[in-house]
Amino acid sequence: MRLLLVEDDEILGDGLSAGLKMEGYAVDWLTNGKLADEALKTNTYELIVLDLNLPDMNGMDILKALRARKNETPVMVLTAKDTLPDRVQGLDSGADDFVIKPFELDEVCARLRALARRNEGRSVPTIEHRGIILDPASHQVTLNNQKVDLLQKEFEILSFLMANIGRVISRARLEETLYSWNSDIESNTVEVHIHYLRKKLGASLIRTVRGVGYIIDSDD
Amino acid sequence: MNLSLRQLLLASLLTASMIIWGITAYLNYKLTCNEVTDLLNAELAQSAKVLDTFVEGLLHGEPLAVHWKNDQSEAEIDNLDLDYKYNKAKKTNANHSHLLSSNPNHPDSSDNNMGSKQLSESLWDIFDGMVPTDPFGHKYERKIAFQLWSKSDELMLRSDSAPKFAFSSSIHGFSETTIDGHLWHVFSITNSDGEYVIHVGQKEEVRNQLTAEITKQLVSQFLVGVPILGIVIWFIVGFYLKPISLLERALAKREANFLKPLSIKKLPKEIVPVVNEMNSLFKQLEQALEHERRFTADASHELRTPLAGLLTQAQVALKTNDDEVRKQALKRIEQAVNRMTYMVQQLLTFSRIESNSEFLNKSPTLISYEIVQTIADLEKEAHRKRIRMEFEEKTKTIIIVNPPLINILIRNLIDNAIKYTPHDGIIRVSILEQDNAFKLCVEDSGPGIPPEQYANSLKRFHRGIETAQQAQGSGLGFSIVLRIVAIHEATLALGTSRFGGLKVTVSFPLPVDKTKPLKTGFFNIKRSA
Repeated sequence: MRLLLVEDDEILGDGLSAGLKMEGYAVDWLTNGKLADEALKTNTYELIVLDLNLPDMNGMDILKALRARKNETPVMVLTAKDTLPDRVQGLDSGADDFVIKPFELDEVCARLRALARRNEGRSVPTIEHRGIILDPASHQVTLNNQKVDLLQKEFEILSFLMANIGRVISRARLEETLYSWNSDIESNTVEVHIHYLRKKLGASLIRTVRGVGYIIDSDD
Repeated sequence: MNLSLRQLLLASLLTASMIIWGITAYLNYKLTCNEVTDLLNAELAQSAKVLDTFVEGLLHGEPLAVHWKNDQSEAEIDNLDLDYKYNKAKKTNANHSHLLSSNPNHPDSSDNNMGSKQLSESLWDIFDGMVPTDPFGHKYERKIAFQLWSKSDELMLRSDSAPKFAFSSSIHGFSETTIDGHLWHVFSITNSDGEYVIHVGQKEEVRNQLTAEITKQLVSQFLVGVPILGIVIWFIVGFYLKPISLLERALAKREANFLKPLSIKKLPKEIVPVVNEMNSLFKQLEQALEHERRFTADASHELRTPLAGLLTQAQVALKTNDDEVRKQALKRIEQAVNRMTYMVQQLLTFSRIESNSEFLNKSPTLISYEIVQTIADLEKEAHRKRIRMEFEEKTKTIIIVNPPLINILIRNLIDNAIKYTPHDGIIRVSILEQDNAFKLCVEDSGPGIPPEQYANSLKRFHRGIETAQQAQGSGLGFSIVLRIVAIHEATLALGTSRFGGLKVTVSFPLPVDKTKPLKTGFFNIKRSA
């Protein structure tokens, strides 16, 4: 899942970036408000973690601009200001969640999962489909109650497709989800991961729409 | 106890009024008493003279009846009716009207005969009579007693109230005598032949009654007047003090942190400067409070962010299975702790500057000495980044500053320059005199700050965009510098250095007075005027 982290503090940004990567997110870390604003205009992210106190462009302004563009990507705001007016103002400006520094990495990850879940229109933490149960928190997948071992990237692709059941997801979109700017993308990786997923979960689960992308069909 | 202005004004004005009133009333009373005494004495004398004329007329002059007869020829002398009735007397001619009119109030005595016995009988009432029911009576009638003594010391005639012995031994003029414990004022008159003496007397009490009446009036005026005056003063003072009590209420209603200026509308001229002063104080206080609020907010952000970084890195280190990631995280933790230690030191310095009075003492200081010391201290750190440090001393003027504060100022400026200057850079510190100011400049070859961000950079904790990544300074350094600059009434300006980086200039104003700044003969430096 591709995530934009905007945090100007080097140590915190580095720590969050490392922690979120460990959770499987493809993290783009920016330390500059204006660059973040530009990145949001040109890239698609599933989640945004935004610090408010940035050197050049206020986090709140980035958020407002984002919402003005009808972009509904879930945004988690990081702030050192813990007063009620600050929090109210933040939520009213379009933030989906608010975390006050200092925070627990685990809490941030849990909240991000909740945000993603809510964005996908689910209220239960796990996704179930045709005997497959996917748990985003523990990164566990079971098929007919049997644990299936998946690689990180395989899990990411599966959860993205399962979060969008019945919708065709382009290969480019899947690549975007998997890789942050800094990683090298091999042209056939998505196909390779799909191949292994079919092997582990059954060939019929993921259908290829030739020239477009992949889809997990809905039951109806 | 604090009395209110209103109470004080009431008390003082009322007391002053009472004293003035009392003095004038007393003088008035004295004056009136004298006048009354004079008036009554005159009355006494006049009564005596009237009586004398009357008796004289009866004894020697042509009897009144003759005049009467002459005037009214058909009237018989024997049956002459001496009618004293006032209304009739008024009709009589001028020749004798003075005699009658001197006793206008005489009571009923319509039939008086000319004989002295009869006359005396009829005269009793004239002098004694203060008959209250008498329609011609008047409350200011004064009871007068008289005696008529013959030459042979025989009491011939007296009024009821007069004693049977002589009023006075004096036979002419005023005298005073005490009879039965009563003081009498007596006027005596002897006729020209010395045939008789007339004493006319009046009791002191009668006089006292009159003065008592006057006193009573004065006192009652006073008793009625004082409370009325008091009420009037109370309300007038209250009316004019109303703006002050309104001000007081406006102040009382205020919350401690509500520092909007007070309105000076409708306030008396004397109060306006006070309120203006208060308003300017409010403004200063509000600025100070705002300063503090911003500082606390900034400090909290400044501390919370590295804390969050520290915690996150620690959790990454705990969670990861990758040794390389763990090692990196631990390195970051060490970095974060160092940074926070520095910040805590800076915060402590800052709070010491804010609260410690030791920093208020200023003394003549040779700045170059402090600079050399600081450069020596920080050289090691600069050397690590292969930064060249230079000091350019263009003046040896001694300025009056607080040495520990100046040391902190210089340290912060140089420290900051080292942090922001990349490897192999250069930092130049210089002191010079220009435009009647002592200038301390620190220039570096770092990234600098774009001019449009100068104002922002001067705000507390604000770090430049480009530089944020490169240096791990806390914005507190600049806050401390600004505070020290303010304490010394100096100014701080940002600019571009000759190396393309930032140039920070602190200007200390030099006194215009030639005797200052202090210059020691030892240095013997020429100073341009």
